Amino acid sequence: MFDQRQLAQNYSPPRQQAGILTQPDVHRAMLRGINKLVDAIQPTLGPRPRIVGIERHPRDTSPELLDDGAVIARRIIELPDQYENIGAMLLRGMLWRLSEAVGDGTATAAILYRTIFAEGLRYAAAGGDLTQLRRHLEAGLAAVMTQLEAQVMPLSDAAMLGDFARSVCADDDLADALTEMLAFTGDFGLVDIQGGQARAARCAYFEGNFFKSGSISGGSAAVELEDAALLLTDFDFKEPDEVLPILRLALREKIDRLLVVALNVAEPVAALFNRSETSSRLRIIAAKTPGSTTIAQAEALQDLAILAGGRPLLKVTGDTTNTIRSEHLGYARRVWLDKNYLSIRGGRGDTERLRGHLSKLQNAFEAATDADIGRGLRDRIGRLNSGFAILYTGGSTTSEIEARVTVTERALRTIRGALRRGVLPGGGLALLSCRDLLEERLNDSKTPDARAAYSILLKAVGAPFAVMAQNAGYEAPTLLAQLERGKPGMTSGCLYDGVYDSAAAQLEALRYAVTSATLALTVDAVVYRKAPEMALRPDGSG
Amino acid sequence: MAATLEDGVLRSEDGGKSWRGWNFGLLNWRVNTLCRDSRGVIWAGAESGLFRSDTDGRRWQDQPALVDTAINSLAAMAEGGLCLGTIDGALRCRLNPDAGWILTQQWGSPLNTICAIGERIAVLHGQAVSVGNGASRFELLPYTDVTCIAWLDKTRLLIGTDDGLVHGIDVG
Repeated sequence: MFDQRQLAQNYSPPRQQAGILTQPDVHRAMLRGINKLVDAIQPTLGPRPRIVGIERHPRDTSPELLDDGAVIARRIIELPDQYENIGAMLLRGMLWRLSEAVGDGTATAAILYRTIFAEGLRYAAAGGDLTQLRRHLEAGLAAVMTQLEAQVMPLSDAAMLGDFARSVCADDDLADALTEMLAFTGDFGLVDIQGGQARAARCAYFEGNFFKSGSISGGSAAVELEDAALLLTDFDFKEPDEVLPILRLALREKIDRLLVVALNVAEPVAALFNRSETSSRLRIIAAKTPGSTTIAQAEALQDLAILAGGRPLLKVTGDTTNTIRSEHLGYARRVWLDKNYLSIRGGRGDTERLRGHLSKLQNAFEAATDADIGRGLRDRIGRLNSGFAILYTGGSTTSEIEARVTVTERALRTIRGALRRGVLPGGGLALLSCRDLLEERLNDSKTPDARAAYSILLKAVGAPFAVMAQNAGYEAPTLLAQLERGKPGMTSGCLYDGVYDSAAAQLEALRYAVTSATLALTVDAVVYRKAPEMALRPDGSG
Repeated sequence: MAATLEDGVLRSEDGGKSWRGWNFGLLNWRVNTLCRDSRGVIWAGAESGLFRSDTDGRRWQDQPALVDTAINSLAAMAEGGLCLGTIDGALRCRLNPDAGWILTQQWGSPLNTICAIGERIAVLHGQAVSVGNGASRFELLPYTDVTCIAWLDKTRLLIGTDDGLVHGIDVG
């Protein structure tokens, strides 16, 4: 049995010595750390990726199986060698930021980063000027980005979307399910991915506008009201007296089905709601105000009011139930509520207002630079667009289920990015196609720094292709020779036929890798601090 | 598929025995009319705007050019063209998928039905019928209390009236 105390006693934290490391040891140690991290990630690259197993604690549980570079990097908390660790952690941070921004491209970025860093060190060892090198690398990056952007193709039809989904998840069954689901939900639709014992992926679709909420007035069984009025509030109803004005209004307006959305409904109030059906034929159900923060709740109430009409009663504006009037109420053709979700269908809100609201949210989404804010806006747009899909995927063991759910979530993020920003030829071919441009720039270069920068980029753009070929069981030079001879086996053969990469992921992977690696090259000394011992014990004891 | 005034677009996959809502992306569920054009795109005319589906009705997309229009009737024309009739009597046509919407004709009463065959368009506005060549040169036919219209072929039109008569007339 797992013994937390024993684990704490056996746990030996990495050696932590305070000190200062200077050149040339800094770069050598950083490169060793980068190599270790990239070695763990690079099997996941390519049209035929491989899985990386991550050991769990306690060790008798099955390992986590991953094919996502960012998550693999995230699982590597610290390298045992503190000197190598600094290089690995710089790369790790970049990969996670990239993954948050575009969802994919982390293995490509890791390989580009390593190549640029290693080749940059070689140039530094030969006496090169790293600051000048950085300037030329950034100029080369701009040229390559422009060339790549010119190759971007839209995901224009269902066949191409299917090909792209297969490129992303390397699993035909899952790719087909994702393609089918995206035909319903589009780029913004609300989607939940659930793991289970059945390996075959399948989708279920639900129409309506779904909010994460739940019933607070009755049991856990789902209830549905037809032609219902909605009262939206952020109130916490504690006493029956507080809701009497609502009941009076409902009777006056001849409403016989009412949904009350509130922060909470105390038991006596819920009992009053339940009794009202028998005493006055007014059926009332209560749902929790969606959202876990005050801001999220205000946004959800705003969205609900736009869908169903009416105006929410809010504490912040001084509303009470005594001020309630008929214009506060919204209406919907159907309201559905269970313990996890609230759904309204056929809301009677003003469509023009809904369009304007959606347009504002979409503009904010396009402008969002923070991944969390972007996700929040996407969810809001999705729930306003009417429709909710659940994709069930799984496997026979816990590890397999988790791995499939992770792959599905990443694939969905990547495909959505590609739907918005298009795709590039996959298998490393898009980057490889920039070699001519870089060779031209190399030949035109007049300074050693510029020549070094273009040589480094030339090597870097070929590196992902070589790794992908190797991962798929091919000899990279042979495959490259076929490509140069224009042999059909290269582009229409089994490896690269119909393989695409997300343009957003490829462009951002290149940008993140070049800018981060050039920054890392300019690190000249590292100060190590002794970590406090109490922070290293997994059981939290000092 | 069926358009409804309360539940959006319904779809049956068992010959009409059961119906299920297919309203992903449909912002307005008061749908007056449905039409499939010659390129397979499905159009839904709603109380507020026009929606299109390129995915066989699975998902609908708002058409920004017509957001404030209450659409009563739709008809597909050749080469992906489409005509729509509005509740305020306007006939708008788009001759091909790349063209913009043109206000072709304006009547004083709601445009309840549009029938198109080749270049010929018949329009039921209020309870009167007009027939046009292409999307212009409409001629009012001498029938009143008309409830429905249908083309038999490019020259013969069937006209149903509320006195129970069906007139088959040559408009060639």
